[in-house]
Amino acid sequence: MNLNTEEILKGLTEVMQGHLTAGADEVRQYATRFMERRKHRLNDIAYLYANKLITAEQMQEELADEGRLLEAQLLAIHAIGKAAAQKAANAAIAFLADYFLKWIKPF
Amino acid sequence: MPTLTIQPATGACNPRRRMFLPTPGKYFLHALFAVLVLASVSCRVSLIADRDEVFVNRVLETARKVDLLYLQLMSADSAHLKYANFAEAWNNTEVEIRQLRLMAEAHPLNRESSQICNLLLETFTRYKNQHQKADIYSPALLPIHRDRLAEYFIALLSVEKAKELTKP
Repeated sequence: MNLNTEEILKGLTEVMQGHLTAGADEVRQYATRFMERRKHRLNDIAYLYANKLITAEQMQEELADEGRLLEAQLLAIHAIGKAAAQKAANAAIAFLADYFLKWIKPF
Repeated sequence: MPTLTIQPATGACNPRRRMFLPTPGKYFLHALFAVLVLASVSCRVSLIADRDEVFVNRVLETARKVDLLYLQLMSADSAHLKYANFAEAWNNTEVEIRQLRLMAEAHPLNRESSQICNLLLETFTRYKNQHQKADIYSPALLPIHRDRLAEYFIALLSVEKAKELTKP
């Protein structure tokens, strides 16, 4: 009985794709939400500066804070990606183990 | 005169070789795949820490304390926005955030969460020091800062939520 590499590759792709898609959806959802909220905050900062309720220095500090927050949000996205990659890798290993178990059964 | 005969060195005429050294073939493949299967079954990739309910509760509790501090600041009138009136609340909340960071750092494979905590602490102490230095907090900036600090907790909770993806 020969190993069917095409079958293995097809199975691996399907298994990993499902988990990676779930991770990508999670990232998309999170990024969409935080971008909307950031837009509101930036509008508010622009309004405060335009109406002289904050100084130019304060506005710059606010923008630096937004930069720091963006760094944190990108770290969160990185972690979500890692979680999806972990799930996909473990699913691939499980698929290979199942495949080999079935493959050696006839011997 | 005795004659010397040389026999070919085959496995068939060597019982010891036949017993202990199987010829390449079915048995070798069995062994190889048994090893492969065992290795695959016991192997598990770990890129990120498992979800920690205690940490999640701590994030929620710290978020509540930060929110409460900002709610008190927003409720106070300008005359009462002096730093001294809120010094204790600022310090208590800072301690909470520092503890949260310690918890995040205590876990292996939790680099992102501990870095988010570092950034949160950096932002929080900037607001605290600003309030202390100016002895007034711009009421216009209060809701923006409250909202921004909440975003850090959302980031931390999103990481914990993503860890659920890793469950088999």
